[in-house]
Amino acid sequence: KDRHSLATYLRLYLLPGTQSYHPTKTNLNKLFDKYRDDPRSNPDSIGLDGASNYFHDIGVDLEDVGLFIVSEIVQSPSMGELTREGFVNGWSSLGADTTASQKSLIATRRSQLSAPEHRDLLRRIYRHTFTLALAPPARSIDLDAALVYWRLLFSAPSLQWSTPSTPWLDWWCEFLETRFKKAVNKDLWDQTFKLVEECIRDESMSWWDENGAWPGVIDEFVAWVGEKRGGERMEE
Amino acid sequence: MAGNAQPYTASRTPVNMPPMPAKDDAEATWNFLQLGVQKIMTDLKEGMDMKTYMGLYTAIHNFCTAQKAVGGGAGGFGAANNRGGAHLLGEELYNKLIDYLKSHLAGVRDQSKQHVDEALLTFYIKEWKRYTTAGMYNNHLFRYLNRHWVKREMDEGKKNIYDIYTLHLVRWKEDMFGATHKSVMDSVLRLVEKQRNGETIEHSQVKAIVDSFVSLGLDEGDSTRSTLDVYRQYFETPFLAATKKYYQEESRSFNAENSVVEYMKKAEARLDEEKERVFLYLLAEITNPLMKTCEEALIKDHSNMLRDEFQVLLDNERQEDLGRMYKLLARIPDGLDPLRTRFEAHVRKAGLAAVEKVAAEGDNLEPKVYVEALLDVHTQYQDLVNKAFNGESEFVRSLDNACREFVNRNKVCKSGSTRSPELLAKYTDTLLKKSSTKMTEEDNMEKQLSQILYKDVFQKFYSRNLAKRLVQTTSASDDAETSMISKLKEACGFEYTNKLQRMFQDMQISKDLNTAFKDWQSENLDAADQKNAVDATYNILGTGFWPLNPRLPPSRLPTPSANYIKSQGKMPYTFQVSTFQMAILLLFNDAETVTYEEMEEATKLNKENLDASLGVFLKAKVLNVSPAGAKPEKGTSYTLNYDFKNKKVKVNLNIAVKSEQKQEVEDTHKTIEEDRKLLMQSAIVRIMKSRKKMKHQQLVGETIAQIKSRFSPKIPDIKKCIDILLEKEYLERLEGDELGYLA
Repeated sequence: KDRHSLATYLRLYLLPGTQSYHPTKTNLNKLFDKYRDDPRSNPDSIGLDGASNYFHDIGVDLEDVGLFIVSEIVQSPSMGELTREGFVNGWSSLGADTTASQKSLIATRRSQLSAPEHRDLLRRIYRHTFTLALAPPARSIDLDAALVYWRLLFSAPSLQWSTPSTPWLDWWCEFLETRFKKAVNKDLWDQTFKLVEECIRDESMSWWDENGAWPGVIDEFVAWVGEKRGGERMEE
Repeated sequence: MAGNAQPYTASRTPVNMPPMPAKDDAEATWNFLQLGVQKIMTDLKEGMDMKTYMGLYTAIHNFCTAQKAVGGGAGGFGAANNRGGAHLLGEELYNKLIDYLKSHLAGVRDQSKQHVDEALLTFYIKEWKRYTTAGMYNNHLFRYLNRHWVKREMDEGKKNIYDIYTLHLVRWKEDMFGATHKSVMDSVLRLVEKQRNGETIEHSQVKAIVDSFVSLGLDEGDSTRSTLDVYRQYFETPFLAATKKYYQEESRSFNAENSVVEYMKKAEARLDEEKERVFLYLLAEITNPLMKTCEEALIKDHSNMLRDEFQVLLDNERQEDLGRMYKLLARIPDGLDPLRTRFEAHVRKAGLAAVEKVAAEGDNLEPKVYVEALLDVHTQYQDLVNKAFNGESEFVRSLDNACREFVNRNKVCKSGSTRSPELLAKYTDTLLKKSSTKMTEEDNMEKQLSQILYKDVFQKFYSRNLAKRLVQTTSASDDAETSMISKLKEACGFEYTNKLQRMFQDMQISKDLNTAFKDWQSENLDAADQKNAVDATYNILGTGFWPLNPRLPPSRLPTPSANYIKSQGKMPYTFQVSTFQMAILLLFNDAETVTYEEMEEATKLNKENLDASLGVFLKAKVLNVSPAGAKPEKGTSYTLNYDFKNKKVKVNLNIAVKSEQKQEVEDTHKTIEEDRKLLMQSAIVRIMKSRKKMKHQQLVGETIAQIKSRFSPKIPDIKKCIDILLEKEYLERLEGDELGYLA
């Protein structure tokens, strides 16, 4: 065995106090090992290829919100990258040490995304998605990418960002593509979640106040929506 | 009866006086006294001799002291008993006097019924005077009673016992005043109404009535003091009511037949009259309520009508009438607020109209025309405020508000909110440049400047123009520049002019250095070298203070081998040129004709700059192009024009081409935008650094407060800056609209 895995072995199983022996963790470590791309130089991480295989095995499509669910659980630092620590800790805390149990757990979460009582779950996944998408040292993510993620995160089976009178998600994307045309920073990303919640709660936008703390873009969006609604009403 | 008489008075008792009564006989004593009292009351002018008076006095004295002796003889028990006896006797006289006064006043009251109006007043005043005079005499006469019996009763806190004079007043109030005050007051009011209608009346009558009413104001708690209660209730209140009614009616009928202006004159005159009335015969205390009543009836009730006329007067520039209206409405509470609002709107409209008129010029609008249009409006209405509105600070503020509005947001500024300061700065430039005609106008500038919202824009343009004036030595006079700077300092503060002053310093240092250099040259160079030396002046300018973009010189400056200007062999012209232009001109020292390609090669100027400079030379006819009329491009060549003529010896060729000017303006605006962003961001960081945590809204408010002296930041702009700082991670979002500072 090479030195790296020995070190990992020591750290995870033998060092007292930090981690005690844990059958689930042993299983998870074994599972993790299975997908590594390059065990020699990168023993504690799974790269894109390994991740694809893994996602396939647990039934997660790469163009589905399930990807974000699992990424949040294992706290993957970037898209298609898994670390041993995140993988083992994440799954062990949920007690899922086989692909089958993980698959069913993801399915459960998928079904919870749109439920108001599980809003925290969605929020966690949403926030982590930004980390996932960010490529340091950049501080923001490309608008195109952000739009793709929003479309995955805010439509079925996840929470649908629309109300009877307003296709919010479509409008939001349209507005950003035609007016804003800039990269999305963390603040705007986070505040967009708040915006989604408010829109669903009250589509008349009475929650908005020009002196509020919303980022400027959202102020502009609200104004844009107002105009759009006014215009459409006139056409009717 | 004679046997009862006291030996020292009996023999000299006048014929009409009965002998002195027995001292313990109340009935007899009063009968004796009544004769005297009657005489005092009804016949005082006949006089009373000392003996009669002393007799009366003695009778009272005897009566009051008699019981003591009796009481003493009745047995030695209880001083209280004795005193009780003395009470009874004093009281009997006191009550007899009351009965007398009552019946006297009943008579007077009956007689008063025969009179009305002025006759009633005359009667009332006559009776009042007689009665009160008698009261004083009686008070004196009964002073033994006052001093002992009355005093003791009062000391023991007995109600409704007064000294004899006060007793007279009390009786008058009860038995005379109560039944007559209404008809008396009616007569007074009719009299005053007569006067208001223009008749002459006897003032003194009203005054006497006022005084008598005042005298009846007795303080129940302390009879030595008086209050105005009676006067207030029976005189002031009906007087004010009648006044109100009178003026309500008058103004109604007057208004039906006269213009508003006429009405204002009338009201003004009436108010003066009423004030005079107080002085003539009313109590000073009535001034405030009386004026208030009049103001209500004359002004407040018609304030809407007056205010409606305000616009008409403004439109017709009726300064005097506006002043009249101001004075009238200033008298009532909140009377002027609507005027101020209308005034502000009017000035704003006038300003916008004035700008509209000149805005037809479009982009070619002369700064002078624009600024004068603004100044005219300001001057006109400032004059109005000073003359008609008493220079009142609230109106000044309305004027300022209106000016600020139309100076900063008008037809010309619509394209960009910063056009106003830009034009203003340009105008200042023309004023301060040489050959400008009027210097005095800069005085008005500061007025205008204080109206400018975007002082930072003005500053940018001003400093740019100032830099040019200094470098190109086109400034008319140092004094004018200095005085302008000090005005700016006054209007905008030290920070604002700091850099401008540094520019002057640089100029001064450069001047000294040049002189020193010239001295050095004349000392160290021989004659030949001096002749060949370029006559140059150098300015050493600190980059930080000068808003000039240092132009990178072309990669090669031709060596100045000979003097171009002198080579013309005629009257030498001096050309003022830019570095680029000099690079081109110097080429002609070596050749008379230079091709476009040669120039490109020799100067390494880019096409844009080369073409622009050549354009200036061709236009000024310094160079001729071949083929004639060709645009600067490859294949053309240029020759010195030896027939160059100009009225001036010193020719400024360093003039910006139109497109360049426009570019410069745009650049300036861009710099301003950038500066503002930085200013807002640094303000936000400064605030957050000291507060660490803050609500979003509060932060926006504080930022505005910190920056508004330079320009008025818009909330969306501030938010954008906050967004930027969030992204740069100077700030972070906390719970509940709060922002945190990240060190």
